[in-house]
Amino acid sequence: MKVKIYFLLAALWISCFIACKKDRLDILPIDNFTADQVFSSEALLTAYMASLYNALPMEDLNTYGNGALANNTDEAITAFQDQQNNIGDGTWTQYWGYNNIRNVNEFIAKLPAAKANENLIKTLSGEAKFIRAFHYFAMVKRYGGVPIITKVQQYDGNNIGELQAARNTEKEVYDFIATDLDEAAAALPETNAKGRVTKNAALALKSRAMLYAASSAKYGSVLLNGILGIPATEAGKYWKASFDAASAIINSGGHSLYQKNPSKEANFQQLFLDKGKDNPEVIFAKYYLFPDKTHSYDTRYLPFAIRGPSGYSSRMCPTLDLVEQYEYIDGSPGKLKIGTPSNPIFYTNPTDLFLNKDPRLLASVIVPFAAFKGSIIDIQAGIYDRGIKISAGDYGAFYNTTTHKLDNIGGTLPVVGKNGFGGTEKTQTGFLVRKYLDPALPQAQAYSGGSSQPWIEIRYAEVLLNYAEAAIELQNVPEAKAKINMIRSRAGIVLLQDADINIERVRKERLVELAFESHRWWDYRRWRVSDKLFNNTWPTALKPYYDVDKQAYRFESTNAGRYARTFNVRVYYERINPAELAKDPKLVQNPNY
Amino acid sequence: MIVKNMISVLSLIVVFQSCSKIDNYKAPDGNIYGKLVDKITKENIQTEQPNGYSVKLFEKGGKMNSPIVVPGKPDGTFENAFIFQNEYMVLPTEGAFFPVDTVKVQVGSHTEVNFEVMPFLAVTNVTITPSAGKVTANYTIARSQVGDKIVERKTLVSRVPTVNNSVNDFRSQTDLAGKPDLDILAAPYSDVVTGLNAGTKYYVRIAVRTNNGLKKYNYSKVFTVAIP
Repeated sequence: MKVKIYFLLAALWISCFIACKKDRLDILPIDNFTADQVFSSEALLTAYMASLYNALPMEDLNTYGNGALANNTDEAITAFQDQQNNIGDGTWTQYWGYNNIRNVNEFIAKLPAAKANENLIKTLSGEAKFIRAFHYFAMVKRYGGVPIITKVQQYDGNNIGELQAARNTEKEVYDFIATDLDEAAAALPETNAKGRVTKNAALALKSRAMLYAASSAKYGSVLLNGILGIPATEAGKYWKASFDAASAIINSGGHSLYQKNPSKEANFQQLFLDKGKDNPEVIFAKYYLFPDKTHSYDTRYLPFAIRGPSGYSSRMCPTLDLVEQYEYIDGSPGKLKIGTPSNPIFYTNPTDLFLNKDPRLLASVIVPFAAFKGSIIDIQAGIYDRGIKISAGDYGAFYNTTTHKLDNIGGTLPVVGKNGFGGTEKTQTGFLVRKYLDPALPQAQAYSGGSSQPWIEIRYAEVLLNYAEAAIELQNVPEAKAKINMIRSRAGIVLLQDADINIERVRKERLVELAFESHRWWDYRRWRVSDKLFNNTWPTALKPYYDVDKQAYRFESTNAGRYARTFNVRVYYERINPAELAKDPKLVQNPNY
Repeated sequence: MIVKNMISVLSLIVVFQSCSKIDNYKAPDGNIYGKLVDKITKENIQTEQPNGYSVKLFEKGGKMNSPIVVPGKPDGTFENAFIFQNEYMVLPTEGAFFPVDTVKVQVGSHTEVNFEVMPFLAVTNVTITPSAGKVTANYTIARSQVGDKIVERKTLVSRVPTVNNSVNDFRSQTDLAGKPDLDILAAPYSDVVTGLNAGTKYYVRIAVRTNNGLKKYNYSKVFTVAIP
């Protein structure tokens, strides 16, 4: 035994010396490429872009509960289970993306010396500028002015003071974004590989960013010596910049509104599910591929009765407010005709309540008793029998119409629907989201990480709406009207006349067209109306009841969920993570944090 | 066996070695407290919580530190009893009052520091009258220094004493943006809030706001009423 141990020790001792060849640790990794390798091969350069694209901070389909921006506005609330007692407090949607910006800066710095043909280098430099602008835009819309870093910082052990940067003003950041996107647009081709940005994508992001800048100038206030806010006198310049960028896209003719299906409702649903490269409305999208890169949209947002194997459902319940924001086809206000509590209107066919509503409503929202994936999505809050309201907490409860009692054995009439109301994972509002849900996805695959429909980050309709908003802010009514009517004509509702066009109307078109696409949270914020809209405000629900005597449905409107919501004024600018302030004393915190 | 013993001894040494020092810093034992006095009403300035106002402390020798933020209380007082005894620059800020200068304070174990601030607006001559199912608030709006345009007045009613712009059950609100400031200041106001339950105790407060950058409200005191 002892001999063996000594032998082993000796062997160990000897191996120590022979193993220590000088460059033993300097081997190159065999599962990675080095920077030198990447920058000397066109194929690797192109492939490397995938990681830069992947880091883009999009508010895409991989959101959940209150992380979904729509659940923090009047668009929707999440299911009872996950409902939080308020909407964001300024710390919920953080993005401090300097690690990603460093990667882009490094790429931009090394690209000119790469061994690749000139055209490729030009295109890639355009893509990199777009990506950098995207990161800065994601930060400036959250925090206001942030430090602009365009060079790769190197720490030499002694220069920490130089590396700590102070915040630039909000105006400087927006101007920097505009410059980056102008350079990107100049370098990028008209068309590019699937999922890669084009000239029009750069212009579209510019029209979006300039709209945000103009809104900040017009509706915000200048604070902290300009780190927050933009002088009101600059507003016109930014509206114009947004207008010009959008009109360049429109004039290029490279995109058009999606009109492949003659049914208006089916068309608007299909627009978000058409994965082909020939979807003319897509300007920039994030594509997924099952099973390598996926998201969990379906599993989280499907109705309860047809939920997937992971067990989630109903995490986005559109509010009655949103449903009523959709007009009727003839342009009349979208208030649903439910009568009054004492004198309700009865519907034999419950979906008739939504007859003649904007086709975009039924394409974006699952209403009670609508058909989806081969099922009728029954959403019922209870029944009325002989004028008495009967309700239950779960769909297992039955009602006996002969004895007029709740009776789970002899009863035949279910009291509440399988998809709501009642239970912690069913709709709380009477509605469920339909936009982006994939009807072709087998129920067995609707598990976490089972979905692969693309996320459209920028689509042509948004460009038209950017254009219309900038136009109306610049008092250009005919142009605003023309573009709003393009949207309405595709949607299938009556066109507007000059007299109808005002800022409110243009905004409303934007809100309903882009519902659930992570725009509204930022739009309300940049118009500085969030604190008015969410001031101890309850989300709203529509409750369908089955009336046994009339053999028809009646509806009631009520508050939804557990909590009223308040948007705190300080959330117009988010909190910078205190850890960042500790690292860099030149940073100033935003007010009230 | 020897190897085993050596391992045990070595690990024991490591264990004791690593625990030889304790944190010998003294815990913060300084305390700063005080109040903000409204120059118009001569009483504590009325605010809301959270985010009514904050008091920022810049510690001497702490050039690399972020300022310590002390959130103000709704009755205009503030306190922080967990800071080091040291010299601080103290700055009340981010409230519904005009900017004031920082003050240098040597903070000891219990140091009071008060400020006089000029509010954007003040709610004056308040009378609150409860009657069956409703409450009536009569008041005027005053100011001594001209700032941003006056844009809004509200009467807020709640079942909890922390009534403010976001904590309320009933309210009456009026947009004043279209009215000239001089008219607003000259007029007496009467707001009626209805829908209140009989026999219930309510807390009532009036809020007025100028178009200031942080959208801060100036509040009246909280009045308690019982609905007959």
